[in-house]
Parts: sequence; structure tokens; C-alpha cells
Amino acid sequence: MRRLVFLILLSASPSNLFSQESELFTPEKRKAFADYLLCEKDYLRASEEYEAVNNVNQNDSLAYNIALCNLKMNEFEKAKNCFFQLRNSSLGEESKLLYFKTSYLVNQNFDEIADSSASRFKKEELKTSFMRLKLAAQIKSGMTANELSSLSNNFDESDAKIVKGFAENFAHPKRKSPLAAALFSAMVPGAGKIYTKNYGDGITSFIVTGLFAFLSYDNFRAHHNTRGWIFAGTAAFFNAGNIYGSYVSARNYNLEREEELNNEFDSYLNSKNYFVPKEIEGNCK
Amino acid sequence: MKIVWLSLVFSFSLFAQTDWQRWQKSEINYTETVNDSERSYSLHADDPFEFLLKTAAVTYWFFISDVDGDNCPFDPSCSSFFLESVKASNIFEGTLMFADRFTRDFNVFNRSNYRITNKRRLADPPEKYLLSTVRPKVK
Amino acid sequence: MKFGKLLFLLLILLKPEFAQPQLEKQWAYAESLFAQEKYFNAITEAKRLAFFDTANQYSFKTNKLIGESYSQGGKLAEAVHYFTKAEITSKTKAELFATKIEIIKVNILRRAFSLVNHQLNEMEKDERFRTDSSSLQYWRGWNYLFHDDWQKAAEVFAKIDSAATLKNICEEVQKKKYSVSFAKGLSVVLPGAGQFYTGNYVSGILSLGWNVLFGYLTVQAFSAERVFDGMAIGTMLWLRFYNGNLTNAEKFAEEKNNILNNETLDYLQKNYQGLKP
Repeated sequence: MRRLVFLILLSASPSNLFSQESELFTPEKRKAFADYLLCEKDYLRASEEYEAVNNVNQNDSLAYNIALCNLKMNEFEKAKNCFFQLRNSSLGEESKLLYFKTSYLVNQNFDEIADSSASRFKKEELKTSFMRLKLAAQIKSGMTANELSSLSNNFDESDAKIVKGFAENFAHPKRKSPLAAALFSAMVPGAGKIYTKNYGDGITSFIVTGLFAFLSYDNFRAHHNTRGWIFAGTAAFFNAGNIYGSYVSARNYNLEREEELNNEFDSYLNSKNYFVPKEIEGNCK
Repeated sequence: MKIVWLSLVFSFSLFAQTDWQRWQKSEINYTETVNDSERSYSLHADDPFEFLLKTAAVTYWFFISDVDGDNCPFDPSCSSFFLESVKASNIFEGTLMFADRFTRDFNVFNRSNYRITNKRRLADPPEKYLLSTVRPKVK
Repeated sequence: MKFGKLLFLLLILLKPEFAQPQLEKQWAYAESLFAQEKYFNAITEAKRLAFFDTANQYSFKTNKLIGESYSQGGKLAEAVHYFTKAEITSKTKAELFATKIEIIKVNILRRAFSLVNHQLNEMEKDERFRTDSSSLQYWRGWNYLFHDDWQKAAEVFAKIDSAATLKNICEEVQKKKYSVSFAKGLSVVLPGAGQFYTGNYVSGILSLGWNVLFGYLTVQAFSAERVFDGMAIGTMLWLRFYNGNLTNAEKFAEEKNNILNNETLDYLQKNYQGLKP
């Protein structure tokens, strides 16, 4: 009987004394909680939980999940390092793929991806993902659809068509020549801005410069020479600004189109979730 | 009620980002921030030329611009744009940028290509028009 | 053998009872983090508790604690989100009322005037909160106060005995405020007069000066039958400075009122001892 009492005490006491460590904070429970947080997109808390478990018993999949959390939080440098360290682990292939994906996202430096070969991937799904990533990198660096022979092998027929369209746009972007814009405006005030599709500013330039030029002409004709020179100077001032503005307007037009195209392509790829096989994204419901 | 519940659950990810960085206690101020004009009337300058320009601008602001109403739809205003342009480039380029801005100020047509600032003005920073800018923040 | 069986039985019997103190301790832990102002961690631990609380015994408490933590961190949208979850998981009338008021307080801080108004209206219509009407009135007063409607705030606070201090403060602000339309009206009649009313004398003198000058030049041009000049000076200069004069009278009155509002709100935040958002 005394033994029994002792036993009851013994079985009860540790759970009371070390509750936080022993029950809700066991590695299994922490991992379960972390998985839940990951699905809730609460990535910082999730990665901290994974890290706590990983400190007790090291495990590739924990480290992989930490890297994934960092990638999701746009902590690209951290994520890249984590994936790099996992390159020879049991999740090596997935890590390599995500390493390249992070690298693709982080600095738009595509050489590393373009120089790598798909043969390092044995899993068929990962190989296709990598090929798609590589193609995207090549498209962004301006290779034409004809140069990308492997394109139709790695995308469905309908998607390949769209991707080819993007490749075409990247290789031959719609551009306006800044010099031509400046020249047009020098000939006809505002024409350069109209050329860069800045219609409102172009028409305004034409009207404003034209008005002052007319006032100048009118005053010279009436032999009001001083006023004539003042209006002529104003017209010249506005048109000089207009020529400069047309040059810059063409440059900005090019930059805007470039940014638009990049955004369109990125969001298209994102919507297709091409580079990450679904099983990697965790098992969230 | 159930629909409210569900919509709440799904909307969660909308602000999951809040906790992607640790945060501390931060008391909300009762006071409301007033959007004062950001004009600096200080004459502090790095060189005599800048001092001269600033004196001219401040005089213009004091006697004319501050009492002739709200005529410029842009942020920064035309005179500030001129000062900032000259400072960011040189007197020649700055003047050309100012002349261009002046014409754009007259534009009564479509102005949808400007971002609206929180002061409800059209964002039109000089960086967008500098020749040296490689990648300006367009829009 | 007998001993082993006993041990097994004991473990099975004790197991569910252990789970209980476990959650209770976790709750105490989360609360202690909150008390130490470690709000981010308090949320983590409250979430952990909620995750393992399969019977949902702590749902209300955890949601409320998370809401309060976000509120302390100034993350008001998140706070409302969790208070709403707490509202849904509340079990008693007192719990329901408390969370509804928390939501209203946060929304007052967010200056969501019409939303708060709507929420208070709904609560006033609700039979369950019939006895709480003075509390609802009290928050309605704060809502007006944050909406810059000191007159209405004073009226509402006047109906509550315990809110006499607030009533007096609101009345005082209402008295001190500049009338924007009066300022503008003065300047319509005499350029610069509105600016004198708001105490912006230099601007007032400048406005008056420009208007007198360009008004004179315009009249002079017309009387000398230089119609084109008169029209040009009148529209491009006189009208411009006359409009500027009106804009400034309005702007200065609004600015002065904003300063007064902010000073009062700041005073209330730092010195008012009663319940506040």
C-alpha cells in the first residue's frame, strides 16, 4: 500500500513540476504545433518551433521546413543558405530545386540556373520543375522561343503557347527610342510625347508652346519687339523642357513596359505554381 | 453566423504577414496626424549658389505661393520640384526638368498615370525624370 | 504482475486528469507573458494552448488574450479579428458584452465612426443588453469625441452621471474651436479678415495687400477702357489671390482646430483616469 502511494506521487509529480517541458513541449507536440502554424502561414512562429525541435533532435525535414518558412517570409538569403546546406541530405533534390528557385527570386541573376543541368535531378517531377525554372530564367534573359527547343517538352500544349508568347515579348520588347522622341519634339512641339503615348502632355505641350510662339509672332508683327522676345523666350523655354521631357518619357516608357512584362510573367508563373511540386508545400488542408 | 465564421477563417492569411517579424508593445496615439506641407523654409545650403536659389524660393513662397491658394496638383510642388531637381542634377538639367514639369502642370487631360499620395496629390518626384536614373520607381 | 497491472490502471485513470492541469498551466504561462508585456510570445503560447485544447475549453480565453495582445502591439485589425473570434466562442452574456465592447474600443481607435455607430445601435436594440445602456452611451460619447464632434460628445456625456469630467472637457473644446465657415465668411467680405480671426496676422496682411493692389489695378484698367488688360489682371491675379485668401482662412481655422483636437486627445490619453479606448 505504501508502495502504491509512492507510485501515485511519483507518477504525478514530474508532470506537475516539468509540465511545460514534458507535455505540451515535447518534440512531437512542438512539431505538430509547428506544422499547424506553417499551414496558418504563421511562418516566423513555425520556424521558431521547428528550430526548437531541431536543437533537440536534428532532422532534415525540420531544417527543410525552416528553410521553407524563410522562403515564404521572403527572407531569401537565409532560405538560400538553408537549402544549400541541405543539398546532400535526404531532401537534397527538393532543396536544390528550392535553392535555385530562391536564387531566381532573389537577385534576378539567372546565370547560376542557366549553367546548371537537369541531370542532377532523379525524381521526374523535380526534373520538370527545374527545367521550367531554367526556361523561365532563359526567357527573362532574352532568349527567343526558337532557341528554347525544350520548351514544348516541359509545358502542356496550351501553356507552351503562352510561355512562347512571353519569350517573344522578352526577346523583342516594345520599345520607344528616346532620341527619336526628342527629335520629334524638336520638330513639332509635343510630338515626342505623343510618340511615347503620353497624349495629354503632348497636346498640352503643343498648345502651350504654340500659344507663346503665336504671341511672339503677333508682337513682332506689331513691332513690339521687347514683348516679342519675351514670348519667344518663354516658348523656347517650354519647348526645351518638352524636348528633354520627351527623351525621358521614352526612357520611362521602356522601363514601365519592362516592369509590366516582368510582373505579368511572374504572376503567370505564380498562378501556375510551376516550380514547387505540391507535396513540398506541406499537407495543409 | 456560420458564414461569418468561415469568412473569418479564410481572411486570416490576409494579415498573417504582421507576425513575420517580432514586434513590441506599441501604444496607439489618440492624436491624428495632420498632413502639413513639407516645405522647408530653412535657408541652410551647402554652397552660395544653393543659398541664392533657396532665398529666391523662400521669398516666393512667403510673398506669393502661400497666399495665392492651392494651384499645384503635384507633390512636390513646382518650386520645390525645381529646387530638388537642381540639387539632384545641375542647374541646366534642373531647369529643363522644371520647364517640362511646368507644361505638365498645364495638362488638363488624363492624369491617371500618376500615383496619388496620401496628401491627395499626384506623386511626381524629380528622380523619375533624371537622366542619371537607371530604374526610377515608375508609378 | 499485479503491480504492473496496477500501474497501468493508474496511468490510464490519471491520464485525462493530467491533461487538465496541463492546459491550465499553459494558460497561466500565456497570461504571465502578457503581464510581462511580451505580447508576441503571449500570442504564441495562447495559440499553442488553443491548438492542444481539443475540447475548446479555452477558446474564448485564448482568442480574447490574443486580441488584447495585438491591441497592445497596436495591430488593431488583427485585434478586431481575434475579438470577433472571442465573441463567437463566448459562453455567457458577460463574456459576450465584454468582447463586443473591446471591438468597439478598438474601432473607436481606428476612427471607424459609422461602424462603431452601427455596432452600438445594434447593441442598444438587443434585449440582452437592456441594463447596459449607460455603458453603451459612454462609448458613444467617445466615438463622437474621436470623430471630432465635441458638441454631440458633450450631449451624450451629459446623460451619464459619472462622465461629468468628460462632458466639461468636450464643452470647453467646443467653445474654443474656431468656426471654419465664419472664418471663410469674414474673408469673403474683407480679404485677410478670416486670417486675423484665426490669429494668422502676417498672412492676413499679405492677402489684404495683394487684393487691394490687384483690385485697384483691375478697376483702373477697366476705367481706362483697357478691357483686355483688366480681364487679364482680374482673372489671373486678383481672382487668384482672392481665392487663395479664402482657401487660407478655411485652412488656418481647420489647422487651429486640429491642434486643439490633438491637444485634448493627448491630454485625455495621458491624464484621464476613467475607462477609455
